Amino acid sequence: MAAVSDGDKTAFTQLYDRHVPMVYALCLKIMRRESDAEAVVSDVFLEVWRKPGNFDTSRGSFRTYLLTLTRSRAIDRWRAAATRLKKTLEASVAVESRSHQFEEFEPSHVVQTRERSVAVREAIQQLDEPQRETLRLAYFEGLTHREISERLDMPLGTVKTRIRHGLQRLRLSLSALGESGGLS
Amino acid sequence: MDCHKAIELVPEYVVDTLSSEDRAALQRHLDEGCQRCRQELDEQAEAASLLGEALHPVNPRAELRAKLLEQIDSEPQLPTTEIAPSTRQHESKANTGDKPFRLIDCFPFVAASLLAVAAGSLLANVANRQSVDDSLVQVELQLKEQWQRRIIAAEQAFGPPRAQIVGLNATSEQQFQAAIFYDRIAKQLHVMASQVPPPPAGQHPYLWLLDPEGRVLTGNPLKYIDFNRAAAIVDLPSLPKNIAGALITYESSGNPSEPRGTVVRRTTLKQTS
Repeated sequence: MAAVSDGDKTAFTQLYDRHVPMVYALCLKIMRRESDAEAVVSDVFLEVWRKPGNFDTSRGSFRTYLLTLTRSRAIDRWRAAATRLKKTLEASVAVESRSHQFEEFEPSHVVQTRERSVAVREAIQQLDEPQRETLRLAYFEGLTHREISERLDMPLGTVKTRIRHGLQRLRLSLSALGESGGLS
Repeated sequence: MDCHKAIELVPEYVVDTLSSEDRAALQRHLDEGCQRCRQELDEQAEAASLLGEALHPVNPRAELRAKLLEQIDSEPQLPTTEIAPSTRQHESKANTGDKPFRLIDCFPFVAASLLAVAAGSLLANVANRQSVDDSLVQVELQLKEQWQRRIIAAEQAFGPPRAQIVGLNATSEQQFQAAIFYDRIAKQLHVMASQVPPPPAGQHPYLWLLDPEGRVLTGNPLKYIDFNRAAAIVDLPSLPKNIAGALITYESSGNPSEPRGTVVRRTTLKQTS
């Protein structure tokens, strides 16, 4: 990443090759359309190139920075598109419900799974189902706690507790993964 | 805001679903230098990112890589900003206050700031031509970044980030109205047409874009909604440059390559941006 800060295009290319499968997977998960996902991927990597100084090594790994940036840009675009559609059609056309289709999504070019990814997926599997579902709605669909409580028909306090406990369990998993430190 | 309340808000902060008021309050608390809450925020953001990392990685099309590398050749790198990555989005929204962006509100401040920066930089480095040049470059970059920030703020208020929207003005002698625009980034054509009567049973409304000679450029199904309205969001790799008009027809066969059914509405189209 330091080389990217110095304007090293080769370093940027390596950075892209290394991380784009992860970034694109997250974009697809949120956006669902390949064209929309590609637009977000471009936005994210252009921002990494243009503003390399925004990555602060003291605040976590590059992977986390990249995923946070990606999710933020994708959710923004998704919300804006949903709002635009809603306004345009005055809510007459139902926005395709994505909630039950995520697990059915089969990407076209699945690449080799890395050891760390397996460990991360195991960490997610260790969450109980209600925690996983609640976190999924917050992270991938960008629903507020209140919206989740309405969607799942459960008290707001329960939603907050599930998300808090779910994140705590993931933090414990991070320790087991030996997480932290900058990664370029 | 005390730490207890701040930490309670952190989970929603990291997934960016807090109300603008709570977000601003928590941001103020963090900006006051509370290391404990900052660390809590960073750790929760790290934990939440595992949800994204757990997905099966997917390679995008190779063309995307080539296009991106070509694009960075013309993209200058900008100076480091003071805003941390996981908070930049929130701060940006807090600045806009969820109000519509008005350039006129920002211009005097931006202009004064840039002049001050330019004057300060120039006076400080007047003895050294190279430094003056560097300062001017710096000012130029700051100007560009300020502008980009305004664009981002505007886009957050009005549309998808980095959206490049092309509007198409529809004019028709009939009492027919259509909002048609093309999003260059998403490569989608959005259409909303009113005064379109309900299609007869077994028939479906289609929208045809025409060139100046009336030849068909594209044809796509519209979805009839209600109250004489029809709409569509069409994936379109690019917007044909020679669009001059549009037809709405009712077609009875699936996927027609040209309009064969009843012409319901006809309009001229003119690109507005």
